[in-house]
Amino acid sequence: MLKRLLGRVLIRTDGWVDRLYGSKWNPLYQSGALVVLCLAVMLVTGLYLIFFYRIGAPYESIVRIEGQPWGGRWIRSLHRYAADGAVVAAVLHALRMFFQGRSWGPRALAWISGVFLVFLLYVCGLTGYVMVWDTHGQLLAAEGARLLDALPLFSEPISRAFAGADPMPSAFFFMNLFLHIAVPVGIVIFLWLHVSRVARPVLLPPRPLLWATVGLLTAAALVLPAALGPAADLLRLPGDVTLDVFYTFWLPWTRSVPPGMAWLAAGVASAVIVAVPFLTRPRTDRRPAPSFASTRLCTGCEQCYTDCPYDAIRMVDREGGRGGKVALVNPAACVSCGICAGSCAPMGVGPPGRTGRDQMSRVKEFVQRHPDPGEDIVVVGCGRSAAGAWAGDQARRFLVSCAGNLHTSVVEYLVRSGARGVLIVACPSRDCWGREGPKWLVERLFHEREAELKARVDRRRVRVAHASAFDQWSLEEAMDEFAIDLARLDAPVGDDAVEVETECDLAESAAPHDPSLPRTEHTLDP
Amino acid sequence: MSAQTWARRSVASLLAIAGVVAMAGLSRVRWRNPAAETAELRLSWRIPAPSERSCRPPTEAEIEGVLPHMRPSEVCTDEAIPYRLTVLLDGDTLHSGPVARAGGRIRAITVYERFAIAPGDHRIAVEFAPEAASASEAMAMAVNADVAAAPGDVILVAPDDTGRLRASKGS
Repeated sequence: MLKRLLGRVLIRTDGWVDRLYGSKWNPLYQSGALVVLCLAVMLVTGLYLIFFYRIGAPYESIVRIEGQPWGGRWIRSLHRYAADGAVVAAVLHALRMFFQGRSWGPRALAWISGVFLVFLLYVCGLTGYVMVWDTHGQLLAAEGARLLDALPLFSEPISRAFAGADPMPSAFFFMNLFLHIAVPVGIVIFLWLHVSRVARPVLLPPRPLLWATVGLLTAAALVLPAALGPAADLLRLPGDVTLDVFYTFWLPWTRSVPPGMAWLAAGVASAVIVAVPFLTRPRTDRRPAPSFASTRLCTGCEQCYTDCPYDAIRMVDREGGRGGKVALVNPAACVSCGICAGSCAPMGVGPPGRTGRDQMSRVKEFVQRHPDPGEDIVVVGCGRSAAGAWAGDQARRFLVSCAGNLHTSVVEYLVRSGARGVLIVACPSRDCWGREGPKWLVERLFHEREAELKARVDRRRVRVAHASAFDQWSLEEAMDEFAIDLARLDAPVGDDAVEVETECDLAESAAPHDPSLPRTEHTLDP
Repeated sequence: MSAQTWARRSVASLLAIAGVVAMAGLSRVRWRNPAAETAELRLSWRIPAPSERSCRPPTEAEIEGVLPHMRPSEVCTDEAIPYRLTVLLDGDTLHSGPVARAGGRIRAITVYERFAIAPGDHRIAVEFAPEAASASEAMAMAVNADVAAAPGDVILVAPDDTGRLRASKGS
């Protein structure tokens, strides 16, 4: 219930932000890439700061950095704000994946590795704050030691190091510095794991958004330099402390409760977050079935293997000693996005019920139900896009599970059946739940990518619009513009000869058909 | 550029700036540590393995089967001396109890205790001594001192260079 409600809030927010920034530059769609960008900024600024940091006099070295007329102060602030930005973007990214239901099944590895990435980001951030050794760092170190002392890890209380009887040893600051530098190596490893199950991972946002983000963070660093509290004094209790809500929001609470309760809360919260892939996965009978590849229809062209956004398809030797390759779907890696169905000219691969053949059967019924297609624009779209929430004439709407799932033969069928125009509505390209659906769709329709829209189809009658579910403005705008352009064309001429069976046979004829081969579906065992 | 596009871009820019300003603001939230309204009495020291050794001649059974040159002249056992810590503030007992040792074997005793105390003038008395009177030769430490504690002050009780407990206050 709560998930559904917050999911709706997310969709509406996406729509409004789309309206302001355009779907191409919507930062909400780039949350994952923004985390990587912030990490890169931290790395570059950190390399500068490390040259001036002294473990023998940590606070004094930070004061010296702050006093540098050109560099230090704003670079340190940029380092801090990039760290904050990374947390904000990571939380947004996780919330998006959660509410979009993209956190279970083959995506569980990405979710769990993402949780570990956030944990490492926190370790890195907290050691960074302690390194400064102002009152905030002192409080953080003392509280961390108090919490660790509650665990059966150390034979003697490590809090005694902060008693104030002796000056803090350099070894303590060396350990912090080491962790602060070593943990990013772990971040790189987990980042690799995080994207290991996706093909062609996009790690950075588009250049304008990249520079806008860096520019804004830099401006903030120049105008609002990061806070630096008074030097730590172990023989004074820190009074007014400047907290960073993104990293130390928990500090006031844990100081007011016994360490056991703090650990219990942290343990329960961590367990719930790590268990999200198992808690949120649908019942077995409600899970979308993975794709399958027909060995009879597969030509071995490798297009589905190339297009699959999750590397779930392999090309294996065709059985029977005939040579050549055939596509094989790994159900454990398949998220059932259906993009392979749109990439297969002979319509031999795709999730059950969503293959090119299934789409052709549906579009035939659709055309038969529609009394006069020549009058209207047919809206074909992804169910999650603005087309899914479109309140217009439902008889003119044909939905598919993803724009990338749409087979170009469906578009051809609609145009040749006499539709005035076909407006295909895809999700914003960086918010496709199947990752690359809109990209491949445009390539297939207008750039001759395999499973392309045939040359005999008048492309002036086909248009693609990108609009998220709540962004009905963009859909209406695209529809109006398309209608104006179509009005300049001659009336559409229906092709009576077009038949769905013929289309399928044509597609199938492209396959090296061997009647001796069995008509079986070919998938890997899970 | 149409007025609508201009307005949209302006709002988008302002929103982005507001977002970054909000982030910068949230990274510097002032928080008053409630503990700083009081003072703190802090005890911190560590003494090396206080134990009592008792030796006796070996029994016949203990040396039976042991080669003559391997036979011990006496068998000794080390027994940890239990310590008690007592802390009095203005004559009232703040803490009184045995001091736990680290680890399962005879190990050093580490004392690290913190007590919140009201700001003002106080007389503190700390005694760290073996619980058993028979272990009177073992190390014992005590301090009696008058201190003036302001809010946020830490009164540290720790051994000085001569090994005697001393109460001191930060600058």
